[in-house]
Amino acid sequence: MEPLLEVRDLHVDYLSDGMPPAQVLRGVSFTVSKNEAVGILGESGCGKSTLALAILRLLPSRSRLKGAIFYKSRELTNLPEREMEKLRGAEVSLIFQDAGSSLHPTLRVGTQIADVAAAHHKDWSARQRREGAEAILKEVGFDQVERIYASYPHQLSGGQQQRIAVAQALISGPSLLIADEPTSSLDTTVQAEILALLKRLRREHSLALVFVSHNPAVLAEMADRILVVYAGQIVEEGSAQQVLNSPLHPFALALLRCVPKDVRHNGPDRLLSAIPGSPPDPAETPAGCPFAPRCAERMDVCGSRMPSETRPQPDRKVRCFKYGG
Amino acid sequence: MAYLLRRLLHGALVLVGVSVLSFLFVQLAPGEFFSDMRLNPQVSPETIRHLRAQYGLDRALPIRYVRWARSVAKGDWGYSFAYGLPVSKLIWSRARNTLLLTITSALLAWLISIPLGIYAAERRDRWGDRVTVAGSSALLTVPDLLLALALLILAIRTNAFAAGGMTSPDFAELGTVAKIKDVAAHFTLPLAALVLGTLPIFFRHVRASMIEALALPSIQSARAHGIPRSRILFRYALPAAANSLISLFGFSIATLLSASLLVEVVMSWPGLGPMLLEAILARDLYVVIGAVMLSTFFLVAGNLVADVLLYLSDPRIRRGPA
Amino acid sequence: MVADMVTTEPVIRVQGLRKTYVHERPFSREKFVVRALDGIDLVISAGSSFALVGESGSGKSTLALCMARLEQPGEGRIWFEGQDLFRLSGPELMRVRRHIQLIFQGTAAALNPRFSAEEIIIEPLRIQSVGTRTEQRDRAVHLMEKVGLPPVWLSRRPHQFSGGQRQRLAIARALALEPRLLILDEAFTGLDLSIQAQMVALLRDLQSRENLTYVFISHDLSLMAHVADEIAIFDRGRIVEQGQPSRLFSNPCQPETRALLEAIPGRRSVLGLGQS
Repeated sequence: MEPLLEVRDLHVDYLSDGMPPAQVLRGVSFTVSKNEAVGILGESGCGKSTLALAILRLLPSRSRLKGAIFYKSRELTNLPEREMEKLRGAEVSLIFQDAGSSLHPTLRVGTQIADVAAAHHKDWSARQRREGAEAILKEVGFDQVERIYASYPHQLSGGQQQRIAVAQALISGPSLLIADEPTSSLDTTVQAEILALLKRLRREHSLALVFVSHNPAVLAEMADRILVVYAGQIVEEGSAQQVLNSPLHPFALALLRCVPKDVRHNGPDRLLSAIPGSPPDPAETPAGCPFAPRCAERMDVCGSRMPSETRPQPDRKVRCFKYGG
Repeated sequence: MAYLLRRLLHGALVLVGVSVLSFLFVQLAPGEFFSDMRLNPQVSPETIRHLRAQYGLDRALPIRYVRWARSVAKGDWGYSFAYGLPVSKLIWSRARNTLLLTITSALLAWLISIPLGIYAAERRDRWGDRVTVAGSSALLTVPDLLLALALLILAIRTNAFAAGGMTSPDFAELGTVAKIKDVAAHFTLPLAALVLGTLPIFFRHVRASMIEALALPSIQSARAHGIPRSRILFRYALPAAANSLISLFGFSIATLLSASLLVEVVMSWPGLGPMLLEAILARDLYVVIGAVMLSTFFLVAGNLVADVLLYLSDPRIRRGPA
Repeated sequence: MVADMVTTEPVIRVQGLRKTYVHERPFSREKFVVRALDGIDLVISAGSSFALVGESGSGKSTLALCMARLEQPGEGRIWFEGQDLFRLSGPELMRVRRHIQLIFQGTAAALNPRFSAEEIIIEPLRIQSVGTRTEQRDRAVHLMEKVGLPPVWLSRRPHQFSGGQRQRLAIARALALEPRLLILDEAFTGLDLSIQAQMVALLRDLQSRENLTYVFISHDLSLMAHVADEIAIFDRGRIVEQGQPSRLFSNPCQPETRALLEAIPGRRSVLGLGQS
């Protein structure tokens, strides 16, 4: 069956005056099927947020995109802007990390939801828009729909703001939702609520999901398949179960060791392992595997050239010299 | 409510303070209205003393202040030595002319700079933006005086506009429509000078606030939801830019009486400016103080209007958490 | 620099602490009353790591601010090493302020972007007039090494550091006056997991070397279980449960604790993320 979304060899550079371009994405390829939840796992600066923006062509003006993006077999990179506007929010939606600042401060939240409906349902009357907004507010879990409709963003809590963002994203019935670290700035309990909400909405609306996060534990809850990204490349791909239980790439392995464990099972030794060093700077492009400086299993060949992608098992891909490449 | 009352009280205090200060400052300036007269051998010292007593200039400063305050309460605002009329009458007729000029020029400047600023911000760093910014920079560097003089020269050379004054010599004999046309003809030049002087500042402000507003995350989010660009511009970006523009608007009001002084003097527009200048030179005490007070009133009013508008436009100021 | 106090006295003792905030709005007569702290009692022993865990708005940050004497409680007392914190003034207070240092979330706001790293680190020394200029510089070098940053970076500005490195800088600054108590308010929030893990290792290392007591404030119970000897669960201004991490995880008594445990992502998934 044809995938819902296909990204083929995507390269994104950020340009700045007088300096070499920052290669934020270096040849990313993957697919998302209908109803599937794909998790994108990586540290800050690895390009995962850029990937989310690139799919909807929301990159800043000083950037360069190469490669192809197919949505329902339509190629998106050359689409005129008017067509992209029709696609955004209606076919593919995006929610951001900081819901508070992604909502406009001087408009009521209900109006902001209705505005999205207005953009995609030009034939709806004002009344229909309002009813549609109230309906979706109920769906995302609000009881006092009228009071919330009339509120301003600053009057709502972080969790409520994110619910509003979800309402905006879903009111026009998209088939794919891209969520860029939607819960990273929320309390753990609120995070759990939002994740539960997203799971429920996925089921009820047959929504495909691309969930970007730096936290493997969150992806354990949300993803069917996981792509591990490092320095703008996918370094491992597999089902969530495979990647989280038996990771192949040393980075994935090291990252999973950073997740706080259940202390009941660890006895007196409660140490978290850490990965030495910091994530690489996209402006620098050393030869060899970008993870090599921080890799516990570094070999000589790792510093000389880039490993290529291999399939050590069916349905699993990895980019590491340990597995050929 | 309490807040509003507090601001009004504060404004009133500012006005009183300014009145006291202007009294003091005018007093500090050497000489007085009758200094010239003293030099005239034909005028006897007794006459001068008599005139001074008549105008109360022989009294101590605090007493003069009190008498002036009483005159304000009566509505006269003191008397002009030069014209022998109550200051309020004198000032108001002139202030009307000034306001005609400044209100029109402010409106025009805003009407041009808002769309232009939006246009430039939208096309940031592209040709449309570069051209308008370069143009405004050029205008900014030209001193107002030079601008006014250049326009005057242009008018005289080309005979296209009436240069100087507000009306032609035969004004009184013209019919109403002709009268309006006449004023309008004289009006064009000072208006042009004022607009050209203030336009670049407003334009840059609008452009800068719009650029900042367009960089907000909420704009990117609106785009991500597929809201069309034009709607984003006017419904999301412009209101976000409004806060700083409102402050500038308040400033516009605040300077309604003071901004045009130079232009009025150079182009002989019979507004508050030339009269104030004349009064200062002649030490016509109460005229100076009256004009300063009126100007201050506009300043205070302008700030207050800006505050109220800000309160109305930004729900974050209006309401706290739900 | 300061004589070591041999003491069995706890570092912090809090008794009956209460604090309410009243919000007023302009142009309106409404007031909001928020009970940030509603009767807090606790004891923190020297050299230990204590965590206050709860949701935003539960009052934990207010408690931290009171402990750092940046807020006045409405009622109740706090003793620091046996001294009543709110009865101190003048030189005594200055001395005690050296011993209690605070590290916040969000170094972008906490570090002056116009200062170099060196100026940031020695600022507390300057304020308390400690040491000559040369001594201060040496101390800055020493502190950079302690937190694992290269001393040559002393001349760099905060924006040239990564997020995790900036947090290390904040820690270096906090250590400048040789404190006894370090209060870390959501210091890990917003950092990548790998950086979080590095911070945990660094703090652990520093604790034994520098003889520090830590008070952590966080909403992340699973992370706190890794750093704290004792955890107090906060809810609406009160401590609802307190105990060692392993006990709380295996035997939570209160619904609020259970709710926090339930909320930890990946705990119940079949992916075995809960196991080591």
